[in-house]
Amino acid sequence: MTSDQDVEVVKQGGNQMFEIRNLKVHFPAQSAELFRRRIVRAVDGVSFSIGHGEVLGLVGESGSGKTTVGRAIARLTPPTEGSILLEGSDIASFRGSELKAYRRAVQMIFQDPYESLNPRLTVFSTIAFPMRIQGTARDEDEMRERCINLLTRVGLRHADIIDNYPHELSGGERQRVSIARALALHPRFIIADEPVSMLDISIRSSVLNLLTELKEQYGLTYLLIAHDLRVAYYMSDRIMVIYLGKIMETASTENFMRHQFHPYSRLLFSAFADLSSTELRWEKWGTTGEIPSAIDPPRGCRFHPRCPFRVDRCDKDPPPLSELEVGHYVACFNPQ
Amino acid sequence: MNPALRVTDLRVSFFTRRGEVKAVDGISFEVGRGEVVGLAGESGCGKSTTAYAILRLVKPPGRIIGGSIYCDGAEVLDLDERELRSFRWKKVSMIFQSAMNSLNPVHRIRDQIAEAVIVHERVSRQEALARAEELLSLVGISRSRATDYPHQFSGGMRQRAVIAMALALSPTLLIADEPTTALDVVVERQVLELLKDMKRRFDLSVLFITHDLSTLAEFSNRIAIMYAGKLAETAGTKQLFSNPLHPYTSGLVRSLMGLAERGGKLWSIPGSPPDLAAEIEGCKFRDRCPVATEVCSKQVPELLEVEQEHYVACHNVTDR
Repeated sequence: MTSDQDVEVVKQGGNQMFEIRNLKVHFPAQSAELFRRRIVRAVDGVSFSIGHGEVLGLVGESGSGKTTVGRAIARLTPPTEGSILLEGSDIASFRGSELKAYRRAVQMIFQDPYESLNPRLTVFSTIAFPMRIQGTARDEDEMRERCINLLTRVGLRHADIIDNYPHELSGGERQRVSIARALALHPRFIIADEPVSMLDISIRSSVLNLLTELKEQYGLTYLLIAHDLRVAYYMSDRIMVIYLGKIMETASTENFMRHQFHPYSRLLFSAFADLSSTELRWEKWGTTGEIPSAIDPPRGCRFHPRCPFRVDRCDKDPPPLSELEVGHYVACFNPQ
Repeated sequence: MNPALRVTDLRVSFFTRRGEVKAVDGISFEVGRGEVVGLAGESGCGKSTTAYAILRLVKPPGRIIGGSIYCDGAEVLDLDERELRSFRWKKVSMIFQSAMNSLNPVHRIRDQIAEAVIVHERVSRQEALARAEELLSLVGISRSRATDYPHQFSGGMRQRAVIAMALALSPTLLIADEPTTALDVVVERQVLELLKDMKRRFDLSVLFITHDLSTLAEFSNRIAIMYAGKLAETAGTKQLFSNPLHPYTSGLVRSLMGLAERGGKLWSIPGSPPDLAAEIEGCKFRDRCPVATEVCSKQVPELLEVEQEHYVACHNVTDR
């Protein structure tokens, strides 16, 4: 029943790049009990769309399933149920040259630039690697030239670093190299999974500025995955909050920031020290526990055990995603 | 009254193949009793090295090469190994960014905390276990979870357990080195609230080390900004946010993302910190500084008081 409601979200707005329909990704869990199979419901029925040129900010805590959604769209993790449509075609059906084209068009930037770069490859080899695999450059010279252009584009002085190894670079430089690598194949869609959370605050903003510039220059579409609402706020056109594999709330960034209907969104919002006001929004909340395991998620609304506004129904039925304002969808029986 | 911690002209260098890296290059500051002081700066600025130096935990090729660390009536640099052992838990304790690294994976949480008590105080095992449980309940971990192993805890609970352990011997000073950096925002906020609560309850003095100034906004009394081994500015928290005087500090404050502005460019500080193995004349920030003048490449700016309790090391501010 939730999924029927969610499909409505998908239908509105015609010019969609991606349509995600009732996506579920379940994993077998390691279990101490030999004969009891347990399942991690990492993503448990989400439907949404991403428009051409849109930046969708997918916000949630560790364990919310946000990275799994990104990996499913990148075709790195197969869905258990549901489908992911790129301009109407199911990406699961892609084979051969179609799949190869999809892998070119969709690129991922990972959280940890220390782990996502091969320590044994120089910057040049790292960026040239996708070109080699996909055979998009004629020869070594063209590769090098394109590599230099890309490095310049991401704000690195290529002469200084093109033959360096990752350990010789700072965190910010590494993340820029990852971005250059993602751009090497002229993608249309980039999944940026916590692109700045491992970076120092002082260099986060410059990397976010870069991502914004690249989006405008190349007409890219982003799925931005973040636990930090400030990052999503700065970058995204639309924000979608996910909790234990379910969408809690989605709205345009303006609407979302003006008012969060879902108590969980409110909690995320209030977690930031507001430097411009002295009001201690957090005090109203106190301590409300942590995100539980996705192995046996709570019945009904998944947030109900932590929710200060829960009502009788919350532990029985899962609340459907319903439209409370134009384009503002909330899955809550007692929206605030 | 004596401050909980007084660091004077502290110098720590790492002697590497590339030469001497002056990680901490003559810094002085105090943490008053019951005060929370934030020490903030970018990766590699020497803030963690300062913390390790206070606990005498700097490992070769690093070495404390000068200065004084006066803590709760004793000169830390003069302590012998035996004195250091009790100093580290009873006078000063430290919590680290990665809680998992401070917990022993093969012992139950409660037993680890009790062990720390038994080693340092003459108490029975029963008493120590009871104290451990009491501490755990103070940080919000119930009796039923006290006998879990670290891997059974979530990231937030581990950090709570580490805080309980750090408080086990009622230290005067708590050093928190990026204690919430690895945590999600909501959990981060909970741990910060817990630290505030524990600070009140135990009348702690706290040195809080972070790269994220925004975590200090509602927590610290004063902030010291560190850059390339030196202090750039120190001031009361409100003053530092509302009237940052050093160009580096104002860059840091402006680059904080609030929830207020959107569209347009985020502010960022151009360039990256200098190579500390190289000999740098003058101000170490000058290459990234928007207002650097000739004097900046010749003379090292001193940390001078420009208004009450507000110190700045910048020629452009102090020479006016």
